[in-house]
Amino acid sequence: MQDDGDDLYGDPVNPPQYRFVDVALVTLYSHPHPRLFEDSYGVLVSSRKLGEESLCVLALTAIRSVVGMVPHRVQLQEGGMQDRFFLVQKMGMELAYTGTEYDDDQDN
Amino acid sequence: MALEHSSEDAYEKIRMGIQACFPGSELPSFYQVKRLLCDFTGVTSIISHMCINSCVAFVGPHADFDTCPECGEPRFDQLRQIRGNKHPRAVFHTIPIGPQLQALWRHPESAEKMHYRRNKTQQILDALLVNDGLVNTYDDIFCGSAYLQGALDGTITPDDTLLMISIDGAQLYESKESDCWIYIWIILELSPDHRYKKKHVLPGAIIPGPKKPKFIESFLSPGLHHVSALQCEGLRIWDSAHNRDFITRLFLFLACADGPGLLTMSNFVGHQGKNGCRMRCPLKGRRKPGASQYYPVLLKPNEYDVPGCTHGDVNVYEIGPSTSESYVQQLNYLLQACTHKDYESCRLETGIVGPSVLLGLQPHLILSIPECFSSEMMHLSGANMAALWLDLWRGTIECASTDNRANWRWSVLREQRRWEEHGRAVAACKPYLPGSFDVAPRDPSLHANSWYKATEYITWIYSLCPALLFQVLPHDIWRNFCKFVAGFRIMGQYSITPTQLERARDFLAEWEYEFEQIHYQRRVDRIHFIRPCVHLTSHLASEAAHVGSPICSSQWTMERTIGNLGQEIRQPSDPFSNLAQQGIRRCQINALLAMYPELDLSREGANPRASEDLGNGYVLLPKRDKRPIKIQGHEAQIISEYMGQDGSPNIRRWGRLRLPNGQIARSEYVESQKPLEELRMARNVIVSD
Repeated sequence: MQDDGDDLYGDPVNPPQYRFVDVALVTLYSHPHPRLFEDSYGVLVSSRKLGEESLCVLALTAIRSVVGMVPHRVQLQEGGMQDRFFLVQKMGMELAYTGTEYDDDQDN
Repeated sequence: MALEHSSEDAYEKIRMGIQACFPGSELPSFYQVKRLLCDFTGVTSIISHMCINSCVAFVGPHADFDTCPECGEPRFDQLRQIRGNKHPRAVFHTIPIGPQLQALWRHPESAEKMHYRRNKTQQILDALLVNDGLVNTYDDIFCGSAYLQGALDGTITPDDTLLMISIDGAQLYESKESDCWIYIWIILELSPDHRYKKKHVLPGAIIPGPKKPKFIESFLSPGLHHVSALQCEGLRIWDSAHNRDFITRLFLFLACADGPGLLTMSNFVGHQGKNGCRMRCPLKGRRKPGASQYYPVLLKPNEYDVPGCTHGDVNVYEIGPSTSESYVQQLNYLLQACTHKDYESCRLETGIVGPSVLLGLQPHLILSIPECFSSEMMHLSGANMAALWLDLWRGTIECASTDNRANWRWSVLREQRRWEEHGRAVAACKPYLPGSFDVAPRDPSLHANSWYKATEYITWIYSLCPALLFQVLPHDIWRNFCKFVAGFRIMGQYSITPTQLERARDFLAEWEYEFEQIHYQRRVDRIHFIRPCVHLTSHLASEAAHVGSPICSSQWTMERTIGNLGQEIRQPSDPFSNLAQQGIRRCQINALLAMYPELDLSREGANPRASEDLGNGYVLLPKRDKRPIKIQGHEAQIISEYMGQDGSPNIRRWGRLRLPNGQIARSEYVESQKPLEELRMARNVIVSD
């Protein structure tokens, strides 16, 4: 992830006709490998990096959470050894890091 | 207060320094501050005598004993007793909860937080009306049927104070010598993002070791007696937020502990018993011929005729936890036993050893027994199940003389070489696990047993192993393991929808059957593979419907409280008494902060310098480019397109972004400046469309 806060506040050199937006430049991972995903009941989420081609811009506020993507090497029927990345999410994350996420819920 | 982690000595030196510079100023001495704290908050401790070997506390029926009924050690210092004064050889401190609760209402800001349950209950009831009686998500204890029923039929009123008690043994240092037992109170009136924090977790008592207390009940007694008294008389509260006086009743909603800890509160037979299930479900255990220990095996073994255990295969969907009516009935039955022999056979039949210590509280102010005993997700996942998987994979589980390890297809880490290889693979994952995931698992082949933490086990087994053991375990066994993980991961969420809960229940129920078929294979000599935790897993889903997501009632908090208190100890010579002092001081400071929130220097909300708050919980954090830079190429083009502008855009790169959930994402811009070994990569994110 690369985030680019186009922040031109309080910068006297630049005239204020510039817009500033808070965006992230990201590259994507592929959809999870379907057979690994199904055989593992959705536990093994294994993707490839899509690289430079998938580069895209997102609003920063689209980012939901930080996860781990760990490299692993698997033997696949359809094409020998492959270097992939599997997804790691933390159990009970929400409580260990108590943010404002569910503060909002309380107000509904 | 800022000196929480420093020594008394440091305080005195700073005080002298300030007084030298400003001769007029009168700073209170350390002792005076202690007295002031006590007077302001009303929080202090009850000191009770105990046996020097931690057998019993000299309270209740033991109050008048001069020697320990267990080990015979004298209660008082013999030398001093000769001189005529009775000086106890060991004491422990109980910190009464009453004044601490009152303090929480004394400032409008704190008092407002105590209204969480009221508001949440209303929300849930509204949702129930809309959804035909189903909650949106199980995301708190109050979403469970147990609470809602109580709230609807009036057993729990809005003015009550709901509490959870959690007890655990702890090791302060690496040496065994530092064992001790702690119990804490968690105030369910507060919202989950407050109630589990250090500021609001109230230590109840600290029971020093090093030996394991034989009658923990007696150590709980002063604290529970206090609660019981408050239950009888009611605790007067002044709600400063609404300027209202009311009487609150303390309602003990949940009690949680690991297996042995829970037994001290429940007084059940324990997991080796025939009715060993802590949920008191009707599942009868089976044992090996000639052995006394029972295991919760569903499938009937082949060629098996141990008396009392020959029932057919059990359908896991048909066994649910027991109710308090049946507990009371069975307890009465047990108490009618006249002879020891009678008693023993009643005990075997009912699975109850004696009345629970919690029956000493006012019966209408506890969630009934056994409903209040929560299954402990953390021990179950981090310790018990983790140990079982490892024993299987490493082939370290006991192998009967009639069995042969060579036939254990699942023992893929049995060879030392394979085990070390796996260990290295685990350690190699570290740079890719964000720092917000807490400690990354170390190489288990080097560190197992030595302070390998529950969170390390959990990440290792439930997050890494599905991938690391793919194509290592035979495929069918790997799938069975994954099914378990799938169910477990759902149960480990803070917020679980009813649909997810159903999925988790099915996963875990199917898993249990398949697990027995794959590993135990109806073999009498493998009955011991089916440890109690295998069976407890099947209760997780139904329990969540009952008392909300398991993680809310788990002992995560306990570990942190001990960690915190341990850190505050500065006198290794007598760690226990110092720990008790720290516990008391913690309570006093928490009470003080509740009364004067403005004293809290570490209050949330303050963003660091050079950060930028984007609203909605997103904050950009340094470091960042000093001045905007122009970029070219692919990146520039994409940004321009996004903004609908021509020309190359000016950008300023930021290093870190705090997310609404508290995690901090880092950009490649900062992460690329560090070598991989030093990194806990935090630039992989999930985005919403």
